[in-house]
Order: sequence, then structure tokens, then C-alpha cells
Amino acid sequence: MKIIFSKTLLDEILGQVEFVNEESCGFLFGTIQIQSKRISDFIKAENINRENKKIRFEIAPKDYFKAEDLALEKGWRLLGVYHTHLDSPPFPSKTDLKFAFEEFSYIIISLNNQKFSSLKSWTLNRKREFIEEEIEITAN
Amino acid sequence: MATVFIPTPLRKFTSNQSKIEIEAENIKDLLEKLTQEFPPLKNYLFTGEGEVPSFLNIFVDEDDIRNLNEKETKIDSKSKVSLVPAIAGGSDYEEEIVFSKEELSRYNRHIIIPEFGLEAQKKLKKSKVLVVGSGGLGSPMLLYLAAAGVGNIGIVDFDVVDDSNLQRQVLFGIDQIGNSKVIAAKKRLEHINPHIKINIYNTQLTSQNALEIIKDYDVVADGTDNFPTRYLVNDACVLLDKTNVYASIFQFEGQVSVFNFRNKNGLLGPNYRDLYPTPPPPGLVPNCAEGGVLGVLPGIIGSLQALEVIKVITGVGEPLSGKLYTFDALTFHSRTFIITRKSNNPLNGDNPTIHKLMDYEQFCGIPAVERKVKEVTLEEFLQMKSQELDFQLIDVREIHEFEELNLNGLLIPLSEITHKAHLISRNKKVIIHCRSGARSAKAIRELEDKFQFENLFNLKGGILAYSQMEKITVKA
Repeated sequence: MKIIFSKTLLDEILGQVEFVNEESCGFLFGTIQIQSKRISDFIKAENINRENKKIRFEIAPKDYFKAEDLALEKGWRLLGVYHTHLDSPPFPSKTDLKFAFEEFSYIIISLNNQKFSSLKSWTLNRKREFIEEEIEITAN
Repeated sequence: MATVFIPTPLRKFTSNQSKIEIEAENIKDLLEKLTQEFPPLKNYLFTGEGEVPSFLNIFVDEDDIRNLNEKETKIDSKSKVSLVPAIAGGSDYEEEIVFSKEELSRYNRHIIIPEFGLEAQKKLKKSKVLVVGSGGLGSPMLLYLAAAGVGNIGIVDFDVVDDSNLQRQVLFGIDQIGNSKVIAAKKRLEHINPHIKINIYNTQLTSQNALEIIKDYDVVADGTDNFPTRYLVNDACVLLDKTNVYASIFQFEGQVSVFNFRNKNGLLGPNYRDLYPTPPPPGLVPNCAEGGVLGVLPGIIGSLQALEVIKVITGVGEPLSGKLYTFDALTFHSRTFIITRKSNNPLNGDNPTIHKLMDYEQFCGIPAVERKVKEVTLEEFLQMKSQELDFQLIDVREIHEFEELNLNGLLIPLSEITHKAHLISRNKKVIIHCRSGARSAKAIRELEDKFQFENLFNLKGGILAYSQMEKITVKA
């Protein structure tokens, strides 16, 4: 399925993840349409990984509940998760695969020297393999 | 009844219900009842082994069951059980590689290529590559990998440098003849690039040590010239989830492929057993020592192998995964064949039957222990000569080898030995020799099997031992 979001939303996310010297992460919300997922909102989450936040992220379950509650309250749908890769390409790692959940979209934002370089969206197929999702960025 | 919270991605299986009431004693019981009611949930609640998968957390009220009593955690009617997707991941990519001024200047011609750059050079420095065999293929491969800046290179070889190696094994020179190949290789490579680490294994790769040696490396490059080792390297790489960069050569032909490679989307490519499910009958495909090889060919193919190793490590370009490249030096024809994973691959097909390494000599039809033949040592031989004892000396090498240096024996090349058995004496001691002792042992077994000879002795170490002793004597 195609992922659609606005340039404004992307800029807002980048405003929070650029110049952060560890992996950032958060939840993506929106609606599912016939052949696409439209992302309308996001919330930032704390990276609680204890090993090495430069190469790992982890979101606390209580934050996951908050995201679910927020979706219920606002009438949004929880569509997936975004996180950054520092100085490494926006392709899912073995760790990304290990913890990925079907249905969710995983947007990986690659930062080069803490500045945005590229992004890709991934989702699992039935065989638990990551498939890249097409991204469309709208003007607003 | 306990209340179960269903997360968004699983609600399509529960008719969009986010809360479900279930009567259960403990978590195990609850998960089973849940899958009875909603069968498609099973794949998300249990792994193939019946455990809770890594991507799911289960909470009872505020606590993760991993901190309670796991699946035996008791629940009651007031319990709130939550199924929570594990939201975690990361690049896994550690940013800690730094280069000295000298290294930056050394690797400048890599770094200035836009598609390669400092990022790829960092990956090379961080990588660990094991090269199995430092012969014809291993020589150019090791020279280029070391020069390119592969940070950690392991070399496995048990052989010593022989003069006949120097026609193609460009890693070595005449000063190293008789010395261990891995030690000679380490010295040469450190001379080319002092910024890298070389680990040497002066041993044969076997089913007993392969996993232990390979496990510390990211990529393995197989430069060996025999089938047992090829299957051994392949199987060990599949079992350990390592990429195996393969090449082989014969006379004027070479081939290259990348096996067991996982691409950026996590898809796994084929391995050697998808290409060659079973080895050829023993003796059908000769190795370089038996069949010969044009010296420059391993130079070409070993360099291609080094190229694929670098592509696999850096992620630059498309590695030869799922493809077999072949090169014919005589016609300059090269072809690329498509290879696919086979469902009947015994290692990682639909029903894998190989879960550990096996006896590869036996698998390839080579008897594990060949029948011993009677031997004489070089000292005994020289003593017999000086005492002018009556014996016959047979040389089973080829005529060109004989012309170069001989011990004044009767020349009967191995291929003719059974036709000329009548020339071999039956009533005195017969000493048979070749270059190193391998062909003469074969000759003795054939003669004993076919003609029931009982008076044949193998010269231990062959003419090689003789010329080495001469060299030492001359030096002294």
C-alpha cells in the first residue's frame, strides 16, 4: 500500500529528529483508504533503549498504550512507527526485523551527520520479510 | 472473566474488537482459548516452538509476564491482559570507525568515488573476512582485500610454499619456498598494508574446527580446490548465516558466485547446494595439481572474488547472489546463469535434513582413511644407496618432471603404471617415488590391488624431501 503524507508533516517530524545524536522514534496516525495509508498526525516517543541509543531504539509499552488511547480518543488509526538511522541507510536491520509487527508501516529516516538524507517505508509480508512501500509526499 | 486488550494491527482478526473477555487460569490457557476463538491469531501469539514471539509483549495489569511467571502467570477475573507489539529496532550500525591521516591518504582513491566514499571505506575497515586457502585464488584475493583496507582478514591454510606454486600464487616468492603459507602470507600482506589485522590458522579447515573459526567473521571467501572443503565451507556458512563468496578454476575456465547472501530486504539467496546438490564422482573433476591451470586465470577469477567480497561488505553495487558467472579464458566468453533456491535443499529448503556438519570426505566419496602403504624414509633410502643394496627405484612422475630432476629411477608415469607392471621387480625391494609421495602411494595401492605385489615401498616425502635436504646441505 502506498503511504501518503504532507511535506508539512515531514518537516515537523524532521524538526524533532534532526540534530539529535541518537535514534529518535514515534508513532504515526491517520486513515486507511482503499489502496493507501494517509498519515495525518504523529507523536514523538522516548527512546528507552539501554544498550546503545545510537544504534537502537525501544518504546515503552506505556507509551504504546498512550498511542492507542490517543487514536481512540481522536478517531485516528495507529498506522505505524517512525525511527531514525544515524549515518546508515534507511533499510531495516536484523533488529528492526526481529521486533517488527505485521500491518504496521515502519518509516526509517536516515540522517547523515544529523541532517536528513533519505527515508523509506517498510511493511512485513506474510513471510515476515520487509517489503518497501511507495511514498507520496503531498504539498500540504 | 479477564479482559484482553487487542492492539490495532490484530483487530482485523477479532472483528475490530479492542477488548475481549476470556475465562482463563493463566496466560498459557488464555492464549490457547484466544486462538480457539480467533484461529488466525495463532501466528502472532506463538512461535513455531510455541513460545511468545520476540515482537510481542504480554502484560498482566502493569507487568510484563517476562518479569512474572512467564506463560504460567496466574490471572483472575479482574486481570487486564494486554497484547502489546514490541516497538523496537535500530540501525545496528555502530558509528565508531575513525581513520588516521595516513589511512585517509592511503584510501583516497576509494573515498573520492561518489558511490563508494568514506561510508564504504568504514565498512571495509570494520569488516571481518575469512579467506579459506591462500593458493591460486587466495593470492590475488588476499593482496586486493588487504590493499583495499579490509580491517580484519583471517587466512586458513595448512600447506607450505612449493616452487611449483609460484607460477600462479603471486603472494609468495622464492625466499618462502618450504615455509608455511599462512605465515608467508601474513608477512607479505602486513608489508602492503600496516593498518589492518591478519589472523592466521595454520591448519586444515575440518568439520571439527570450521564453525569455531568461521563464527567470528562476517564474510567467507572460499578459494579451495576440492569438493569436500567446498561443501564444508558452504554448509558451515549456511548454518552460521554467513555470506560465502565462491570461486573455482580449472585449466582455462573459472566461475564465481555469492552464496547465502541476505539482501537489503532480508531475502536470502541460494547456496552451493542449490547449484550442485551432490558432488561429482571422485576423480571425475581433477584439481589444479592433477589437471593443471593457466597461471593468470586464478589471477582474474581471484580478483573477481575479491571484488564480490568488497561489494558484499559495502553494499555498493549488486553482488552475484542468485547468479553464477563463468569465464572461458581461451575464447573470452563469459556467461551469467541464474540460480534459484531449491525447495529440496537439505540445508535450508522446505524440509531441512542437515543441521550440523558432516564427514565431507565420505560425502564426496573419498575414503576417509586410505589404506597405508609401506614406506621408507629419505635417510633409509640414502643408506640403502650408500650400502649399494640391491633394490629397484621407480619414478611415477611425468616426463617433464623427470627431465628437470631425477634420482636415476625407472620412469613409469602413474597413468601407465598398471600397463607396465611387468617392468617392476617381484623378487627384490622396490622403492616408488613421485614429487611428494601422494602419487606413488596411489601407484602402490593399484599395483597391490591388481597384481598382488608385496615388495613395494613408498619414498616418504618424495623427491621434494630430497631436494629440500640438498638445499639445506648446500646452505650449510
